[in-house]
Amino acid sequence: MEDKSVKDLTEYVPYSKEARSFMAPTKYTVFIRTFIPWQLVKFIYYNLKMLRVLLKGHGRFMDT
Amino acid sequence: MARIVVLGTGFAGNTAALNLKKELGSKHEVIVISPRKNFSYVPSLVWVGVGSMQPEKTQFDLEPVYKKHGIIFKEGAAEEIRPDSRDQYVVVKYSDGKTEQIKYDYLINATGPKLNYAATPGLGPDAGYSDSICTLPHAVKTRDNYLKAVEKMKQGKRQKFVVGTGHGTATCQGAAFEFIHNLEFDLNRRGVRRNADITWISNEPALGDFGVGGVIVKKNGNLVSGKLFAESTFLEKGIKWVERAHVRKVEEGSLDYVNIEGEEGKLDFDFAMLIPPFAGIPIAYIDKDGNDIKSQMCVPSGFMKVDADYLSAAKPFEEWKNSDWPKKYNNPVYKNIFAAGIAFAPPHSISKPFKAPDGTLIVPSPPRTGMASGIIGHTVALSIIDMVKKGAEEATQQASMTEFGAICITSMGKSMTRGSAALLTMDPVVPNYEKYKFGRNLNYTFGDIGLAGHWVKYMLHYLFMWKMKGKFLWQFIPD
Repeated sequence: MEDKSVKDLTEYVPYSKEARSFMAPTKYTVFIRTFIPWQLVKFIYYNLKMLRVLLKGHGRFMDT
Repeated sequence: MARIVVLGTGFAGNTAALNLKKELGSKHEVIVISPRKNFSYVPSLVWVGVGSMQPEKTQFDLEPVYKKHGIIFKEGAAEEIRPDSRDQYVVVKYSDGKTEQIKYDYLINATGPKLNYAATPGLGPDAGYSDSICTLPHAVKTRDNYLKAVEKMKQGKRQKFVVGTGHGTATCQGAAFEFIHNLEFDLNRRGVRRNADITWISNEPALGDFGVGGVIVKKNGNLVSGKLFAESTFLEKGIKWVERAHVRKVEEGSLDYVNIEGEEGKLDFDFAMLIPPFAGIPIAYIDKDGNDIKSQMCVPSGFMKVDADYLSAAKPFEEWKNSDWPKKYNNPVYKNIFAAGIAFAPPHSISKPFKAPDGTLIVPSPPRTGMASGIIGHTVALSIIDMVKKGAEEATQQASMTEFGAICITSMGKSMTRGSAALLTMDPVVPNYEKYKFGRNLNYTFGDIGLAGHWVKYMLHYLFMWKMKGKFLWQFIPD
């Protein structure tokens, strides 16, 4: 038995509660997420992003 | 000579022990006490649970690591802490039943959580009907049950999978989110996805909350809620979901829940992986007169009180402040006792708490695992080093979760060419609405999904295993 509190967006229903805040990846987005040349660029980008957070966070080991 | 005793060998305990020994050298003693002599890299247990990583790749023996670094290791469970007797000590019970009193000058409680399956009738792999990936033995059992379901699907039988949290106050939604995506990815890989119905159930106020109050990130010139990203991943994979839910009971093949709106429901399943709520490891605290002082030392859930404002929990969500959160993680009464990682008691949740009409509390507990654990363990170690070396009377270092950021990598499929992960950086961990309009510094808060995220997750697995083993240049790997 399943009830109305189970949300199912596998089919888009216009004007439904779920459709009010709808977002789904396009075919291009799904493709680019595993397109290796682009992901190699992203890998470098991610590491720089993480490094930035780490440098900021680790600067907070401070004397009070 | 000072003696520092560390209880626990997870991210917080191991980070603290290695840093303490590195800075204090042979003049001082560092003793680690744990009932388990293996370090377990918990973030990769999601892969063990679907059979895409061998269990032994997530474990290593700590004894040779500690021997190499000059750290004394005691394989036993801390049963009792005597914080104010003339000689402060921990009572340790070994597997052969013998006990030992181990004196300390400084104590770090980094014991991690007790998995509180008993909070929900029928929850858990030992005495219940659901699986879990919180420990390696549980992840292996989960894998075995999952592979049995896969075999049935190969024979054409339809199987129902339910993944999420098994109680209204559970935490680690991120781990469950990783597991449901890895399960879906693996079912596709095995060619049986068409025979699976997959449903998510969680106590989050909305998808993408992850117990940190959700996140807003910059994306393509817009500020976008993490909720939309989380929902879009379920939409893409054909996963249904139930949110804002407390699981009341789990039975063989089904679970009952109630949500914040008071709607009651039942989910049938052939396989369920549900994260339990956490509680503090049961340790007795006894004063010099032999009185039980646990209520002074710990909150009712058993986590240790530190320098947080616990009275703030009684205030409404709108009145919670960043100053409620601890900075130094020392016990307010016994300044030489610290708690790090999951063992410290947060002042309240990060997410907004809700109650079902029947009064059931439904709110994710604050996550303080992984990176946050490492940072807090390191901070506590630096404070103790100052107290030992410089004679400081109390903790000197601070790292509030309302100030430091964290990196979360949520695996969504393990493959070097077709896998993916959601990479999320957030600064700070606890939203700071006093400082930032959207709770966090948007220049440091970032989210994206893709194969490169999986490469990062895979890289961090080996990087942190290296660090936790205390191998060459371990100290330069960030927490």
